Amino acid sequence: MSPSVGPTAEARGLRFRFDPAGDWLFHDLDIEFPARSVSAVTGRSGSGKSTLLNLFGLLLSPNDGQIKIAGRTTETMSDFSRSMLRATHIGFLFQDALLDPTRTVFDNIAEGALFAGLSTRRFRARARDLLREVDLDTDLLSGRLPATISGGQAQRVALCRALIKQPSIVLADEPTGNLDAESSGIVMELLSNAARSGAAVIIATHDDAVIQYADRVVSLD
Amino acid sequence: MANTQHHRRTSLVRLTREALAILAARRTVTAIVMLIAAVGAFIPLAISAGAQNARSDALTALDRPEQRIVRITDNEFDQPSATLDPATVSQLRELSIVDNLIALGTVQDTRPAAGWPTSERIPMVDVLSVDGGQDDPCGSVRLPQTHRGSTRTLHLALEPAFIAVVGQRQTEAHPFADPGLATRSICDWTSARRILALVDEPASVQRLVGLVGSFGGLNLSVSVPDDLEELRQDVATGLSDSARQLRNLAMLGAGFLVGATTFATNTAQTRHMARRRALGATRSDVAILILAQVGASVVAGVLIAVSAFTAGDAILHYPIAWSLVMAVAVNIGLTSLLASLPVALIAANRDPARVLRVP
Repeated sequence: MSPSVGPTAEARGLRFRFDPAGDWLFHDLDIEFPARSVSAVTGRSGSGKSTLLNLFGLLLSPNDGQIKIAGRTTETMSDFSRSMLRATHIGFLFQDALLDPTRTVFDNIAEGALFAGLSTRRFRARARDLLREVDLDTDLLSGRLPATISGGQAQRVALCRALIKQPSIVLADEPTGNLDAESSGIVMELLSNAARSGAAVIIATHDDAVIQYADRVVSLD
Repeated sequence: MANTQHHRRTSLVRLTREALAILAARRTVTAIVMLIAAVGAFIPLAISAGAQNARSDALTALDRPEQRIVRITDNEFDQPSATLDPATVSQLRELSIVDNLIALGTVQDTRPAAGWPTSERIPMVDVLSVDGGQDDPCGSVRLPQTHRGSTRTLHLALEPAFIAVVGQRQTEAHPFADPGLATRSICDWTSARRILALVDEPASVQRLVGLVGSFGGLNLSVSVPDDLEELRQDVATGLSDSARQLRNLAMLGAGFLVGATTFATNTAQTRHMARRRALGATRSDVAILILAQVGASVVAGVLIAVSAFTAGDAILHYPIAWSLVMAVAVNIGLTSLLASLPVALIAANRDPARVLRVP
């Protein structure tokens, strides 16, 4: 792995709880995720792995503390600005791929570029490159519906969707949870490649095989 | 390196294009919404066309020459004036207007007109008698009464093309009048005279009035029976009002059905909307995506309806008012968008983190 270069995503004094009267899920948490690195966030169920990803993905707001994405503080941002930052700097990879079953593979990938404001010509070229990169036949797959491809292929398509806008941060929530070992290996290699390209890859997982790919491990237990 | 250059809002054009792509992919839902919009647009157009036809038919029926009744009343004779020479009044009482016409030689055939009964109470008299009351010409009381009169009907051969039948009625009795009131009346009810002319065109009325007016000593007034005119108005406005209400109901129903379909569809698409938010869609992007889908489906549906209606016009000769077509299209579009707006706002404001947590 390449050495880490400065924090792309960091939190200072982070406090968060779902219920205002409940226990803190995070209390004064200081954490940073450098660029060009794969970070594995581990912990038992309910420890807050997915919540941490959602906080860094700006889908949730902390009760207190500061989250910086690509050097920008986010706590005072409007929902619109947070969406913009998410559109341009953050790529999400979900456990179940979450592809639109009614749209073609190519359309699903294009959706990642749509909200980032990428030009059609630019995203088409990059989509083909990415499909080749994840070892998917562009001609064969681009016009097919997600239901006609395997789970491993679907997760690779979802990865293309996350990477098409060249995000600063890739947030992957149990990305190999539904995959066999071979497909898991392919997906992890691709995430490692994304990190080598400059992204901070943050993976919520409890899979030891995934942890092996990580440059650093953050335990929430 | 991570891309940091394309930090800008997704254009409306691209969002609309995306909405169209979603529509194309979800054919069944799109077809349902289009069908609702098409039916919702076609029904008001058909109702309007039907009402217009019915209205036209009704007015034509009411406007048939044999129903165009003109009442020409000798006011002075009905209500003797102090300024009128009593001798003239007496003379006029002896000569009816029709007799005058006969005397002038304008009437060549005094047989009852074809299809008209020779007995009393011919239809046109009934028309004028159903009001159950008439202002007392002496101004004293309003008498409840029903006229029963003998009516002479005859052709005027002078201008057969414009005067078909002339009838003269002389009131003979007032069965429902209070005998006491009738006794106190100073007027001679049996001498009330008027002629009822059935003419084939309005210009004929003036010619007839000119003819009758030439007798002299008469103070004539010409009127179309109020009840007939009121009936025409009632038919016209009644049909128009009913059509408008049905039209509005159909458009409103279509709009809310579109809204309901949008609600059902987007409830099923909750996770996909949350995914779009995670990918960077703003709240307004989500709302625009939903509303653009609704708008495009409705426009397509309305176009189908208008096409079908236009085709129907070619075959069935519906009267098409393009202003109405536009009004229907705009109305259904706005109603659908309004009905879908809450759905869009709910979807836009749904917490994506919470939705994505649920498998």
